[in-house]
Amino acid sequence: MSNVDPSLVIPLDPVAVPGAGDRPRSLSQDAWEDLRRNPIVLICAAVIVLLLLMALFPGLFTHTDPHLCDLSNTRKGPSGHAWFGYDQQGCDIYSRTIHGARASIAVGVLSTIGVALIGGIFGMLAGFYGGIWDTIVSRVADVFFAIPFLLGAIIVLTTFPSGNAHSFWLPVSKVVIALTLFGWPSLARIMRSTTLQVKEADYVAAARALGASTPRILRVHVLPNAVQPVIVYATIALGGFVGAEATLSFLGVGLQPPAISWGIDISTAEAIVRSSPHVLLFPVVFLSVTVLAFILLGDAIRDALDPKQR
Amino acid sequence: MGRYVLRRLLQMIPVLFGATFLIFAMVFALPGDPLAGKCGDRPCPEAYAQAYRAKFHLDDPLPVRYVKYLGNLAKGDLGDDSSGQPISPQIKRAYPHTIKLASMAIALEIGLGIGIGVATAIRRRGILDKAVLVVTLILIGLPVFVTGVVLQYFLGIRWHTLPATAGDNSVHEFLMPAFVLASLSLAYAIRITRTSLAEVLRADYVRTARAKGLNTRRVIGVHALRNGLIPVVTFIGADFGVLMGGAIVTEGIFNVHGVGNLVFRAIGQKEGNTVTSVVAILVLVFLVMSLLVDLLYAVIDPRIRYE
Amino acid sequence: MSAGTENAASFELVADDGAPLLEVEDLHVEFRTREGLAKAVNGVSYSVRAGETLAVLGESGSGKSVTAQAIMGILDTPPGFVTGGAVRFRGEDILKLPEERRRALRGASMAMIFQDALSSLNPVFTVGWQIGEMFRVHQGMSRKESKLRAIEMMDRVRIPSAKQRVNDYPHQFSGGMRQRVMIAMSIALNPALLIADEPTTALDVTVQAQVMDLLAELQRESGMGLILITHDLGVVADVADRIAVMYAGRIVETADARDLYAKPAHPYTKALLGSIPRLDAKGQDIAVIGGLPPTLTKLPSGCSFHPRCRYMRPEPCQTEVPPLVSFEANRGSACHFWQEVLDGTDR
Repeated sequence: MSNVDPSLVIPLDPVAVPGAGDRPRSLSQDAWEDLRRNPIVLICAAVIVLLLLMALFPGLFTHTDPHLCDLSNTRKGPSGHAWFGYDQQGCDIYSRTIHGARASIAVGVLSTIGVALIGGIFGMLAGFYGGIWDTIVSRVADVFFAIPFLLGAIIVLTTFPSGNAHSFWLPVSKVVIALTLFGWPSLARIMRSTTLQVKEADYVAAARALGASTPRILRVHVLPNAVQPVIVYATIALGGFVGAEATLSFLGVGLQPPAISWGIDISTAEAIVRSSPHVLLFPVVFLSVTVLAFILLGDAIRDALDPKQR
Repeated sequence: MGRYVLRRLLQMIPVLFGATFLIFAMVFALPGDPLAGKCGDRPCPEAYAQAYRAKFHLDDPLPVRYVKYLGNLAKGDLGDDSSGQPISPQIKRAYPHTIKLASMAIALEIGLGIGIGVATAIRRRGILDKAVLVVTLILIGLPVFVTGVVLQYFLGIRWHTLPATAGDNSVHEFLMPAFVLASLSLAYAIRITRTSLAEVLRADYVRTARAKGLNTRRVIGVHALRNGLIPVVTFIGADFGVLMGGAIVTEGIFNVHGVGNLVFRAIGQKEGNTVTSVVAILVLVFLVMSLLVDLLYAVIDPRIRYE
Repeated sequence: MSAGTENAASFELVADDGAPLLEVEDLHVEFRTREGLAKAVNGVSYSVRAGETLAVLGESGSGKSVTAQAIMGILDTPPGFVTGGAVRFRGEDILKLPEERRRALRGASMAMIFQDALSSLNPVFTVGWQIGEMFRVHQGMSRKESKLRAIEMMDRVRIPSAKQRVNDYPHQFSGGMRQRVMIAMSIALNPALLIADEPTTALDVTVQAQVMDLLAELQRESGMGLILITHDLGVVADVADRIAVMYAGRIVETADARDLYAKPAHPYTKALLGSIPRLDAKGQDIAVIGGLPPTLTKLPSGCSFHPRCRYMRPEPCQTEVPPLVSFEANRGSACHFWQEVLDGTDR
């Protein structure tokens, strides 16, 4: 304070700026700093990295074949040999739980991408062109939004024929399509309102006056503004999609055995939970931690981006 | 206001048609011969098959069948299922259970959600607040079917605290299913209440209320709460329609004979009429509830005006 | 005075025995925050008599509003704590009163209005309901009766067609009218003391004058003591009897309004006066105060103003806190070199 720059003069009632000497930082830089220091974010990020590794390289975690089951091991509790014990069929629960990550992560990531693409494109079109486009997109979105999410997904999944039972990607893409079909309206609404806001902004009017084309305005002005709310929504939705996949598989309309999914394992464990609760415990914990990691991360990003909270 | 309601009601019509047509198209595209298994192991006699196809207009193109279905619907006739049973009574039997279940869930959200949310907002960072934070996080992380299975195991089977299934549809039996159905929204209701009220307690008008010489009870109970509850009330209001549609899993786990159970069985048995009818009602409930919530919003927040 | 106020129960004439209505003595307030201990008020003393207007002048963060909130007892605790001093209201130290008795004083005997009337009025209740609440809570009046009294109060602060507007919500009023609603609410029970915290800052210039005139008029009618908190020297010139200038949680100068304007005795006051644009000095640069107001968690050593002061000498300014020296009746300055400042020995 003693070596105050004499040229730095201020009006009488300024807002006191602590550490005013620092270079002004943008909101996203601030948010990034916030996130890096938030222990919840670090834990969630670590969990998500671990899950991605499980999904991509289950061999890193276990060498036991999840399909290699020995009925003589049925319902055995956790031991040094099988950390999580064995299920009804005598399959190694640890191995099944590790391998189960792939279905959850695949469905979660792909559904989120699908929702972001479809919702993003339609929302942007509706917001930017308005008029009849807006009416059509909004009403169609209303239709899909009004049908109960789970009910809609169940109907889609029972409608499309089940193909090769031994394929991994066919049932997964069925679930992804079902979830995307009933998940896109929320994102379209976010995208639409962001586009509407940006469209009204003076700098967009200026860009248009300078002859910028519509694709350019969408790319340069609308998309960057939409990134933040979409990231927040997508992260939270990813957690929701993981839960939805497990729910559908639990109901017997999502992935089917012999596919490995936490939902299927929870479903089979439910029948024998009286005698062998450990069979239920492990897939439940993995599923919940996964869902929670994405939801909490999305929550933290939203808090960090919300200037009102700081 | 009147014009706004009218506009919203008009907007509902295409949505309702769109949703029912979508479901109608999908369920009648369900794979397999609708006559399969109707006559035991043998193929059905030609006369029966023809009568059956005529009754369900199976030879008409899809849009025509949809229009015929709508025509009957307008007469209040939901039609029959494939075994010839009229659908209306089935839905009439199932609906009260789902409404009861959803209403109890909403009651839990209001009572527990707002109550706990207010308590934690007033005593932030206390022991209760921290405990509630952990519980809400767990409830948010657990998909509803997991909450259901786990609670059923502990409360119903191991400790016999509450009935494990709801065969008689009594309030007592519905307690656990209602909590499970509400669990996710309950956790959000607590968090929204806490955040909103904590923010409101910092507002200038709360300082004014204290400067007016009001006691703490009145400052929080009247001035802060009336503002802090606005987002929670709209959240819970909108949730009723969602809960009715989301009851499939809960009703399945606890064997509640509601519409969720009905529609899930109907999907499995390829009962297109039943599925479409149930979905139509659910969509209608959802749309009407959303409109009511938007109107309620204008009532509890005088700054909101619809034109 | 309108008919409605004559039978107000809480109205008392304070005998003019020279005893001040309110005496603040050596008040200390600190905020315990995550960033550290912020000493917002560091030994403030001032007094107000019935019928008198004291203007408390200072930048944001100078502690002027915090002092007022401590007087009213509406400090946010935590993080704010009164750590020392006394606030005597009619001779009684109200900091020592039990909360219940203090609460009964608030609104009824001492009232406060705030800067931003829009955010200070509850958005979900009608203005009539909010004004009437004073009568209902403090005097047990019925809903219907309190509404009639609310209309009377709105008439008294000259809100046009009060009868029709009593059921309107705050957002339906203009800025000036909203502040009038605030004023009506605060004077509803004829308080002996009114604290107005930047009452006109958020308003247009023309409306500012109207609101200030209204406050002055109400004070003349009722004989209440008025503490006017502001950062704007122009606002207080016409209405204040005495002025206390605050800086970094301390009073740095106190004087009768006329004396302060004519001959400031503290470098900060002098700089403030120099930063008012004047018509007769057209074409000249407006003087500004260099540097930033101090951060309350890291107050400068010695005199808090020394980093920005033109009169500063390392000894004693950086080492000793200058006491508020009373050098005339009703005059005091907390500057080591007050005499030089007063004499205008410019350096």
